[in-house]
Parts: sequence; structure tokens; C-alpha cells
Amino acid sequence: MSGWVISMVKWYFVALIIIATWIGAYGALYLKKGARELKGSLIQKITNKKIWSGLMLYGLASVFSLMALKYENVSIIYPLTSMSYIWVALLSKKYLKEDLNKYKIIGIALIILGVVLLAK
Amino acid sequence: MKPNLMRKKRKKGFGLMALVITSTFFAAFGQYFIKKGLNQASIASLSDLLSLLNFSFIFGFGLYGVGAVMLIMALREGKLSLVYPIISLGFIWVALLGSYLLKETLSLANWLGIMVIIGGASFVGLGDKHG
Repeated sequence: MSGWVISMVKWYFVALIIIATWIGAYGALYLKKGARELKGSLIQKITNKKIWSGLMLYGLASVFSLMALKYENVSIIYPLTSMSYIWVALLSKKYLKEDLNKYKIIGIALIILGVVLLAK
Repeated sequence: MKPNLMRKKRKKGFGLMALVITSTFFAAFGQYFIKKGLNQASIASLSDLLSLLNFSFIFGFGLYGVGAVMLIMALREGKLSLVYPIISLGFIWVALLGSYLLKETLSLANWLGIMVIIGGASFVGLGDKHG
């Protein structure tokens, strides 16, 4: 009975990191787009909306990561952040027209397997 | 290509790799100190959150930030196919730091998971160059 509870709790942390990496992937996207549009005066560059949105998304993502990190080992949580590679690949396909090839698909499958092993 | 140009490119490649590897060390130690700081803090209530402002926690963020800046600099010129796997090697450093310094226990399955993720990251990185 307690074993079941423990595995449920572990997956709660995985869910927190999924949320964190998902938000972080959007943050990276905004940062990337903002960096491409960096032009104009220094004031204009500092007030670039996309860059600030990206940074705030990263901040929000880290709040979720810290919630998980408070109660779970960093050796487990940190590798889980590699799930961001999955989201970045998917978002790149949707917004940047970068297709998923067989290498990316194999890589995503392996990362998922790794996450399952880490949640044991 | 002229031999001098080839030599320059190789030097640039090494410099880039050194930058990425260094950034993973900063990121790994940053994560370690952040976890150490979290362990020292209590978050039972909103006022307790101030206990997060301990040296380890703040130092950890600083280290992590330096690592992130290094990575951004490297990503401007480097290929993700090499950068992704090297970043994921940082997971091993954190696992070692966690095991020995924070007394965290990792099962065989956990270690296997880390290795598998390194493999997965390598493949995703490979795929990024329109493999």
C-alpha cells in the first residue's frame, strides 16, 4: 500500500517538472524570437517585450522547479529538466517549421524512458 | 581549405567545447548549492520564505546564472548536436555531488535513467542538424 503512495508522490514531482519545463520551453522561444528582433536604441533593446516575457516565463518555470526540488533529490530533479528538449523540439516544429526527424523521435523516446526510470 | 584556416577552426571548436563543459560545471554546482539552500530553508508559511535567502541558495543561483550566460555565448556559435549531449553530462556531475555531498540515494534504475537521458539528449541534438 505504501509503495503505491510513494510512486504517486514521485509522479507528482515529475508533473511539477513537466509544467516547469513546458513553461521554460515557451520562455526559450520568446527569448529566441526577442533576440532576433533586438534593434534600435539601448532603451528600446532593454524594453524588448519578448525578452521580458521570456525571462518572466523562465522565472515562473523556476518557481515550479523549486517546489519539486524542496522535497525531492536534486540528483533526480535536475535530469528531469531534460524534458525541455522534448517541448523545444515540439514547439520548434509548430512555430519554427523545424520538422521532427527520426533522430529527434528516438531521442524523445529515450528521454521519456529515462524519466520513467528516474521516477522509480 | 587553407591549412591555417583549418587550424583556426579547430581551435575555435576546442574553445567552444571548453566553454560548454565549463558551463555544465557551473550549472551542476549551482544546482547543488540551490538544493543545499533549499534543505536549510523552511517553507511552512509565507514568512518562512525569507529563510530561502541563505548563502547557499543565493550562491547557487549565481553559479547557475554564470553557467547559463556561458551556455548562451556558446550556443550563438555552436551546434546543438554537440552542445546537448555535453549539457546532459552535467546530470552525472549533479548525481555525484548529490550522492556524496548531500547523501542522496540513487537506485540502479535511477542511474540507468540518467544514462538513457544522456543518450536521448544526444539523439535530439543530432536531429537538430537536420539529421
